[in-house]
Amino acid sequence: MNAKEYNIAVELYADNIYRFALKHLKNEALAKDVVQETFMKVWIKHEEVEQEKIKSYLFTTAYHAIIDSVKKEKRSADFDLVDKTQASDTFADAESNNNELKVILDQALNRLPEIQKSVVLLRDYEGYSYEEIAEITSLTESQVKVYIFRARQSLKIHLKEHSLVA
Amino acid sequence: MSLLINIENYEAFYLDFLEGNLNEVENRAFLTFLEENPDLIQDENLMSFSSENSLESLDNNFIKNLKVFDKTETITAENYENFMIASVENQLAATKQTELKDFITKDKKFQAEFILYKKTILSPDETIIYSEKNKLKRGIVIPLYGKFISIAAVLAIIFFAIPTNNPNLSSGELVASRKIKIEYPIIKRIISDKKNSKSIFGPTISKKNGVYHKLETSEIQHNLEDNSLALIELKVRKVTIEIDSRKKEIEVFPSDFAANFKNNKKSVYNTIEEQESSYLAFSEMKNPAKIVTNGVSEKFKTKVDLRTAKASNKKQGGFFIKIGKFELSRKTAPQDALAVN
Repeated sequence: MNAKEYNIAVELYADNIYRFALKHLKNEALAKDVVQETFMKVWIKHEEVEQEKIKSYLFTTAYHAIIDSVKKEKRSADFDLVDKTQASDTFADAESNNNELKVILDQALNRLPEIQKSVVLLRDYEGYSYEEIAEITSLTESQVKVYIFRARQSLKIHLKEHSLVA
Repeated sequence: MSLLINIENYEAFYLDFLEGNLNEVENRAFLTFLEENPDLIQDENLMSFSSENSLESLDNNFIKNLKVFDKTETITAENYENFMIASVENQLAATKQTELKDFITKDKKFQAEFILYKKTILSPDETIIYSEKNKLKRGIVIPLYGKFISIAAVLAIIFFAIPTNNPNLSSGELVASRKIKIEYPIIKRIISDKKNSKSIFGPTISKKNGVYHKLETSEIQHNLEDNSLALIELKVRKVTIEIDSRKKEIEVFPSDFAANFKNNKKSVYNTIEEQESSYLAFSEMKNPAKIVTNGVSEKFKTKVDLRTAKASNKKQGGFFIKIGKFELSRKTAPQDALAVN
């Protein structure tokens, strides 16, 4: 992949990776860090990365950066506490104009374990196949299916609890 | 066994644990790992391991609830969720879709459930964008603001610090080695000088409608009854000069020509030669701030050069600045020319 192709990838996928990271980290600064780190790592290896696989490579790198970021947060309890409070406020504000379903789905998504959140976001936001998600997350395909199954169940239960029955 | 299961890979073991894929040894190792890492039990996935159940009984509870999804099964009240999820995931065969539809229509409860599952499909909020994409891009030369401002400041200081007080001379011309070629001689020499008229020998020009034009013949006399009028008419001519093998048309015949013409009956050629000798060559300019330019060159890894020369009576002054591939120069007229003006 050359510089031109890399720059096209920035245009095409930076937003997607940012949203993906933001959904996990619920913190704009941390999500931006993930985007920067992801593209920096990809640029370092740009000569080895094939253009056709760039999206998958980017999401794989971003996924691992997010996992690292989550782990760091967990290790820093104070930071975690403060940050999540701020993040939830930010999110609440950001979503205040959205419809009720979207807000409730976001709440439900935020309650999912990180791995379930990752697979369902990759599935719904990016349209990845189970196989691709397995590759990105270093899981088996059957594990991905199980996580998605559980994620959908949890989301459905949350929606049901909030009486969003048609 | 703690070497086998660690913080990096425990989630995979956890899933296999839930699915009942661990053998007895691995199962025991996983439970041991959880006991050694109680903080993980705070993880929502593992939360239910903590108080309500003992570790030994957990696997049974989870495995009991775990059902392997067989898409060929008949849809029932026990397994309908698998089919609903498979349906919203577009993983269900057409025949099973029909079967699911039939199943759902039997009971409003299932209809409501299916609607809820359909709503679990997430869609990204595309108003959320990463606004700093340009900072991520590579291979595009984006000048550093600091560097850019420094260069602009140096240019501005030089540009305004050096006086440029001769409007008759063209400004901004490159200062470099040059040759002057007169495309056509305007006036070769003055051949007579009477009281109120002058006969001049102009080999290739004539006057028509107040403008001098190139002529075919080489010997044309032109009487100028009013000397001052002639001077006005003759004040500007175009000549072609060569600067480093590049041809450039400039306007000459400034007032110093006129002064010579008026007072000394001097050949215009001579005057041009004088003007040529007044040109400032690059080699004649000096760098007054060599330490600074060398320092800037070193710091920004870009060739930076500055040359200046003061104008003398017969010699032009000016400056030349080079930053990387960017060059700028400006000339000032000799003092004599300024005095005539």
